[in-house]
Amino acid sequence: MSVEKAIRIQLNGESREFNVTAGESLLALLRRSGLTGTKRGCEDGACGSCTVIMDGAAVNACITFAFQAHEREVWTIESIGEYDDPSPLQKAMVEEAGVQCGFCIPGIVMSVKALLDEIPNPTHEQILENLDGNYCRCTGYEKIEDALHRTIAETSGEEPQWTR
Amino acid sequence: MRFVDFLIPETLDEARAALEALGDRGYAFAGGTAFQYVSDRPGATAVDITRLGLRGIDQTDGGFRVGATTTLTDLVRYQADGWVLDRVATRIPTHQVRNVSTVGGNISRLFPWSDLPLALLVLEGGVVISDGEEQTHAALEFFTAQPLNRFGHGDLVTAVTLPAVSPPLGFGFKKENITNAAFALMTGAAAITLDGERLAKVRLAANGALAVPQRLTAVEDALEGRAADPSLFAGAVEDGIGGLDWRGREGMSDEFARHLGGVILCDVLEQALQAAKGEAE
Ligand SMILES: Cc1cc2nc3c(=O)[nH]c(=O)nc-3n(C[C@H](O)[C@H](O)[C@H](O)COP(=O)(O)OP(=O)(O)OC[C@H]3O[C@@H](n4cnc5c(N)ncnc54)[C@H](O)[C@@H]3O)c2cc1C
Ligand code: FES
Ligand code: FES
Repeated sequence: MSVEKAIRIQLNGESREFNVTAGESLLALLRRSGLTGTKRGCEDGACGSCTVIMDGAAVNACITFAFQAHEREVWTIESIGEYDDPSPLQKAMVEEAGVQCGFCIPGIVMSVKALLDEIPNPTHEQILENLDGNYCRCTGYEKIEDALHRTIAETSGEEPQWTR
Repeated sequence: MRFVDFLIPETLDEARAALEALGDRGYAFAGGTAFQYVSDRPGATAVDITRLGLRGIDQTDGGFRVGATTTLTDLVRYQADGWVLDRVATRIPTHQVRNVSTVGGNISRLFPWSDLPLALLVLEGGVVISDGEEQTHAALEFFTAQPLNRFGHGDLVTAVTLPAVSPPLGFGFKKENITNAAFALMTGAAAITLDGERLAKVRLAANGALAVPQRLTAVEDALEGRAADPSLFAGAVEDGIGGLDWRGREGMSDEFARHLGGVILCDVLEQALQAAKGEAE
């Protein structure tokens, strides 16, 4: 019989308490809490569609147990922008046609956000290394790179270090 | 692994005491990324060890001490003369996994894809285990069997140690996978210490297409004491690896795995020799 215990997470800027079992993943906890923007893909840490930011670092919510988030800060896609007020990256993704079916996009946005928060104007190599952790089955990544290029130009205030 | 309970201790003593009390049911839980590959055990309890102050890299006399819960991302970012673990950690996918995976987790339960043990093996690093007191075990001995099987209840890896690498010591590392985000098909690592124009010491290890990380002593023995001449590598590797149990995965035949092993091992020996000579790669 699995024990339920209370944990506290600073979730999208709000201190929240949850009762969790030891086996519950952070992904399951987020989704049962209504934060369904974080997607369930492979569930073994390979595809990146469940990416959230925990204590400033991108992690796969599917292989992160909920209790690991105890007393940590977690940010999900719901914190990034609104339908009517998207973040620059979300806007660029749509306008540059970086979104097809859309399943991978929340994970890509969170993964890239973690990178750009730390390195506002990354090299192309750093971008590719970042995208390694996020599978997109539709776009072939070219349009996603276009969107990233545009976002970096807009948000860093600098010319990106790579060309499209 | 399906856990039925979890504990989040705040000191090493508390964590050790909890693991000791739990016995076979207690699991040190670091990044937690390996538990999806571990079979269930009734009553399993996770003891989170990430808040015990075991994270960080310190320079020591001639080398480094890396705390057990230092993440693979920390290894990639750290910069110091003679530091080589960034080259290994950067090839462990993905950045999300590197952000939580720890050094202790990567070396305590060995898989065919475990990469850090190779570097520690060839660099003759050390593994620091606490059973109340810290003891340092030579990596050469630590990795001869599945490390977890040697731990007593409550024992924890608290750190690893390794030398700073500079000529006449050189290090080589290479990994082949289908995509950057996939497990290794084959990984090789080598360290060479030169004495003038001679190969004074050669350490070579492989994993991926072998069941666990292994030192390749037959190749080492064939090369040690000989001229520092890369044309000797192919013959020594060919003769030394034939008897090993090469296992093809992901569509590779066993024969192809052995061939790929041979190519990668020659490459890492060449890298290590170049580095030992102080030549840029
Ligand atoms: C998609 C994916 C791809 C990967 N590819 C690679 C790869 O190519 N190469 C590679 O090397 N790894 C790879 N890994 C493995 C990953 O790096 C390991 O899962 C990880 O290193 C384990 O670290 P952890 O901190 O998550 O350990 P955990 O999962 O927390 O623990 C692993 C084991 O070690 C024990 N343990 C942990 N810390 C200690 C300690 N301090 N003392 C005693 N016992 C301890 C635990 O009880 C457990 O049995 C991959 C993982 C994923 C999910
Ligand atoms: S669902 Fe988490 S990595 Fe695929
Ligand atoms: S847009 Fe469909 S998987 Fe990326």
